[in-house]
Amino acid sequence: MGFKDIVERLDKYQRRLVGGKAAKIKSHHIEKAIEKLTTKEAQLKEELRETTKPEKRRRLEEKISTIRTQIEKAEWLSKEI
Amino acid sequence: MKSIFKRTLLPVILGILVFGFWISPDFQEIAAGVAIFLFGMLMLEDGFNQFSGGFLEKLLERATGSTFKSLSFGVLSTTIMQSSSLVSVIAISFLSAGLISLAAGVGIIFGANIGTTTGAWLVAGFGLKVKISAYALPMLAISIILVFQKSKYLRGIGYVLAGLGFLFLGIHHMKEGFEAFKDQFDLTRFAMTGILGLMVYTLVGAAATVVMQSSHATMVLIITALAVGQISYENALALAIGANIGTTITAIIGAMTANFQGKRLALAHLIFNMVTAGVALTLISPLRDAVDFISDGVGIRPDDYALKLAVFHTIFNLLGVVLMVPMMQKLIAFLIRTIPDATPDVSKPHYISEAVAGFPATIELALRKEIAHLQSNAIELILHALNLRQHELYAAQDIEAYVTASRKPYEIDVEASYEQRIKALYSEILEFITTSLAGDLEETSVQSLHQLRRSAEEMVRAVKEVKHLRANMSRFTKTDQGEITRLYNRVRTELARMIVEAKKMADADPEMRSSLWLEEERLRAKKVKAELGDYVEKLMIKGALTGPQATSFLNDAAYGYRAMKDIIDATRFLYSEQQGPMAEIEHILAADEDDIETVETTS
Repeated sequence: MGFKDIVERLDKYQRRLVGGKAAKIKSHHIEKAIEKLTTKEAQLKEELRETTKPEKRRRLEEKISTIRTQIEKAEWLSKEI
Repeated sequence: MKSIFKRTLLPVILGILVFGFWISPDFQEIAAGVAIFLFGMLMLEDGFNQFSGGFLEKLLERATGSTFKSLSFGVLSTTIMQSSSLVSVIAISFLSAGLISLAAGVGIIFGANIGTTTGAWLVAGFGLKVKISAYALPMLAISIILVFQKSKYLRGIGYVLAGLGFLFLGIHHMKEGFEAFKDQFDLTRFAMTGILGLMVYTLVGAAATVVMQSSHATMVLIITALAVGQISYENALALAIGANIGTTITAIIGAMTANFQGKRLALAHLIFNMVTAGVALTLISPLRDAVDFISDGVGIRPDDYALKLAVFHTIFNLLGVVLMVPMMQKLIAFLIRTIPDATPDVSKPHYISEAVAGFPATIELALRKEIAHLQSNAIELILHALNLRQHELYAAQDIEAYVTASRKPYEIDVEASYEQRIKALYSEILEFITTSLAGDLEETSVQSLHQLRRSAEEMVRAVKEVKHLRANMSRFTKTDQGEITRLYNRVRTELARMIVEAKKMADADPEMRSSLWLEEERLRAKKVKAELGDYVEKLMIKGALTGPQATSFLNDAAYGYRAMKDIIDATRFLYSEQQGPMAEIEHILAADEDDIETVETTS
């Protein structure tokens, strides 16, 4: 999912918020979401350190990369909100 | 025998009422007063139910910390709601849903018995001394305006106000009725003294409470009759003790549809009230002396028997709590021994029941737990169908190596297991959701229920997909048959990996887990499908795979892919935030189906 999609979703959310159909996101909510993602990232990095099998290492690296992208998007969302 | 009793009870009660109306018009006023009072209690319950889903549940959740906290909660909530029965039924419901512990439930029931005594004080101290009917009519007039409002909470306030208005009006009519009645009939002729009087009037009090389903209504009836001298003080004491026994019937009825925990709590209620009544009957003389002593001390007139009855009601309930609290651990051990845990029949629901269906918070919580139970059954069956063992998989350091080594077919009738452990439970879940959705739920709760239903649907579908691929998968993996074995093992491995991720989500701290953790698995399910398609094509070109083998495998791989997706989606729907700002964030950050389709076409 690119940033274009997230922008569209944010627009939709803000329209629903104005219409009273969505709950207001505050910065501490995003901080909590980031905390959950960084916790998982730390667990995966720990698992990666203990893994020697190349195929498993590749899968873990992909997973860490996906989580990292999520964190970056959440940080971007934090600025927008 | 039981059905004959049930069939004859209603005509007998109606017959007594009609006979009473024929003998005395004042009896009509008393009976109407009781009816209005009970109607008021129903409205009060409806009013408090409007607040359910927020305030009440949050309070109950916090009342689990200690015996003192749960006891205080019981006292406070019963004082506010003026119904120990409602508090007992809520406690049974929350305990059945696993929201509170048995110890907390017992504490709440003990507290409710103290809280219910405030009703006697209100009637004896306020209801009989002030012309409360003057308040009743304006309260009713205002309440009806609030009842027609859109806001759920304003409607709730309206019902509570109307409930109180009807309670006041009921008390007024009972009082008026008894005052006029005493000119025609002298009920004190039926007064009985001694042990016989105690026993007979205790039974009458219990029977009256069973019929009216409210000890509060019985107490008001006793106090108003006592105030106009229609019953003797001694008999009124026995009636009050009887009312405490009779009130347990509501909890027993409430527990009939509850699980074993709810039944334990109803038994605790019965034991508490029976022990309290037994002690009160045994120590009736010293208790009377204590009432006189306390009444003198607080300035209650010696002939104000209504207030003295309120003192008695409070003392003997307090005495019960003082006696039972030190024995609480023994009582809980006895309850656990007497009503053992429900037999671990995995095909039956463990959490959802009629008892939890009354409150939005318990509906959602019980349903979530039940779907986790369904998921656990489904995952076990999927693994067995893949010839894998749950505990071995979760302990495996290298999932691929474990799957490759697991060749021996697992002896299981997958179809029969599906019928018994999945389909039966799934039907009960669907029925529960349908019934709950038919109730008065908030929009957010409706959405949560829909999402949980999707979680159950996806999980059941995953089992069906795996059923389809079992035959070929077993055939090609029990011995090494070259590339085709490796292909089937790849599908098994990927499914096993998804299941391990689902398990990690289930085991994670609920405060810290996020459905976003599964984004990579969502993308991966599609990647696997594309990779396998390409690989099969290469194998066919090389001649390592025959046409029929390739066709069978691609069909089975599609089942496998769909099962992977279903397992991950079921887990996401079960553990994702369902309401509020956190749910909005997860929704904004999650990839949608179109994004995942893009992964497939570009990989």
